[in-house]
Amino acid sequence: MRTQRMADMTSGAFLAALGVLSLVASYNIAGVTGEQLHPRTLPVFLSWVITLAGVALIFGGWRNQDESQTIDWPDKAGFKRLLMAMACMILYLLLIEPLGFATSSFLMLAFLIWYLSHYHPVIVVLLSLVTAVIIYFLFIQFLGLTFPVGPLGW
Amino acid sequence: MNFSWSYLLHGFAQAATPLNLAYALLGSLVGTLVGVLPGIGPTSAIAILLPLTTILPPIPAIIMMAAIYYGAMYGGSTTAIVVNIPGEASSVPTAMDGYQLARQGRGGPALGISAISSFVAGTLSLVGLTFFAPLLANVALAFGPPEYFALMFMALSLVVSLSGRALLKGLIATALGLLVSMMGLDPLTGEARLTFGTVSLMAGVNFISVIIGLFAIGEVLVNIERAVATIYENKVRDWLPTREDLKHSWGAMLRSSVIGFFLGLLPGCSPAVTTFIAYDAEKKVSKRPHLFGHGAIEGVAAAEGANNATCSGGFVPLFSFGIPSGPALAVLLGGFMMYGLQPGPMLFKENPDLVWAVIASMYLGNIILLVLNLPLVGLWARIALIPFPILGPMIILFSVIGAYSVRFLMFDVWVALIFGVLGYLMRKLGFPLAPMVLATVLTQMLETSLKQSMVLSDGSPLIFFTRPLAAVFMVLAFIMIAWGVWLQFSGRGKELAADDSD
Repeated sequence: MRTQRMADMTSGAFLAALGVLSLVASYNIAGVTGEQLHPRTLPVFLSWVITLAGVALIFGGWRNQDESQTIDWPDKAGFKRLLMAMACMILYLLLIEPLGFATSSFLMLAFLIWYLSHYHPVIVVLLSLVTAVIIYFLFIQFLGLTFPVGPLGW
Repeated sequence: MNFSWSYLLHGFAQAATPLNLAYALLGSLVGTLVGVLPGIGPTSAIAILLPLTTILPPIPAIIMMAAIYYGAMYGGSTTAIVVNIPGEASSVPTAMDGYQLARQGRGGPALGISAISSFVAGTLSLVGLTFFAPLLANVALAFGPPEYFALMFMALSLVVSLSGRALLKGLIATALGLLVSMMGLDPLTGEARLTFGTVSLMAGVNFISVIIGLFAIGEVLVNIERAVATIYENKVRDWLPTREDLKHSWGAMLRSSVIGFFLGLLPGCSPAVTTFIAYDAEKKVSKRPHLFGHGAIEGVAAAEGANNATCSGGFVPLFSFGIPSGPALAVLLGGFMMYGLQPGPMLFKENPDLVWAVIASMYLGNIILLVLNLPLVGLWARIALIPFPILGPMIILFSVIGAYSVRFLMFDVWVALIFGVLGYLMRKLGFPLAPMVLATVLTQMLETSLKQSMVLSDGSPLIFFTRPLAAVFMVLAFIMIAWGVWLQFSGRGKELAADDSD
């Protein structure tokens, strides 16, 4: 998928497949007889649009012989950073309910700031702690938003 | 409702009392803060503060709540411009150009133009509200489901037609946005659709999560990949708009005021729709359309102007007929009712003091907000100086807060993350983000008005062409589509496409 041509063909194939999946799901939508517009009408129409547009994208990519248009994908180190950040975010979301919003936010901030910057750990911890405390008092205590607080009450 | 200079002057006298002025100032401050903080919009802010205002007499209470509403509209642009977090759909067009300007070191002028345009459009539409409310409200009432459907269809056609080279990708993004928002229950029959048996999907996908994911998280991922040191590679150059910026923007401010105000009269027509329409209209008339999406200051002016003009326009149906044009005004209507006041034609007869004091306070509130916001431009733009390894994780944190606090569901946060990855991929693969956002926001209204129209016409789509207003919008929509296709295949289209992306 380095070139725009390949990217269009690949994303077109993915979209066409998604459209077909959506078509199957759309035709399974139940409905009541006598309606002017069945609940499945619009999803079916849109699924067809996505399927056909996906096919058109494959065709357009296939016709486009210009191999010089490339996609600016990250290098190996960039991919590693992305994957680590994604893993950190997923773990953060998994921990919000069991640990509480402020505690899990502190952990996410501390890890990600350290990982992206390699600042001294003391600075990282202080920065994350101050942010988490401010966020806790501003959003949970002052504005009263009902975030999960976890066993520590944070 | 009859306009009378004596009522208006009396209103100003009331609004300018120290107590009422203090509450307008407090409301403006809280509103700006609410706008800047992701996760708490004007609707929830007014709802939270509503019970607290019961200790006040009705006039200062309503003045304060109205100030929170339009103050939030001013503040909402800040995070969109500075860190690319549009906290609501109406800030998306602002983010598209404002954030690019900020990356070019011109965050200050973008914020300044945003404040000035909000002031100009807010004030102009207040003049409209003051003098033409009854007449215009009657026009708004002529809008039935077919007209709404045609208007939404036109808005979507506009956005897709402006996808330039990526017309096909714009169409795909629109269809995906519509389809994603159809997950959940059918708005009229309650049938479960595209939920794949998942209970969480029954409640549908919230568009705020989609927006936060596509823009904020997607942008953070792009920056993480590149290991950027600061979120803007360029240093902050200017703090305030230059004469050149104002020259490029004044036309946009006036045009967006008109578009925003008139569309704001329509009950249910939210700033999300009007900002996109005003932004696209500006791109069409601009002498430098290639700059749109890459840092056109007039794009920021158009979006912010329309946003504020719509808010003021929305007070016309609220005051004249008791019809709120959006959730925030619906909560404000609740505030009126809490004081035993029923907005509608009788409100002007029975409570002229209150209505005119509130209208007059809005003029003063606009001035307060301009005075508050312009000096803060430098402060907000300085966020650019925070190193990205610190700012990036904080944007993630605020994105989580924003996505979670809409419905207090972790499901919405996961949706934001998924759309963050999708936003990253769409940027890489050249799919425009704006059509998807607008489609996601409009789906429910589009579908409901389509279904209601079909019921009205007994299933005949001709209803969209036999009613004059609907027909005008539909014809305009088809012209937009044809124009987009022409652009795609003509030489000019290729020229435009060279610079066109999200």
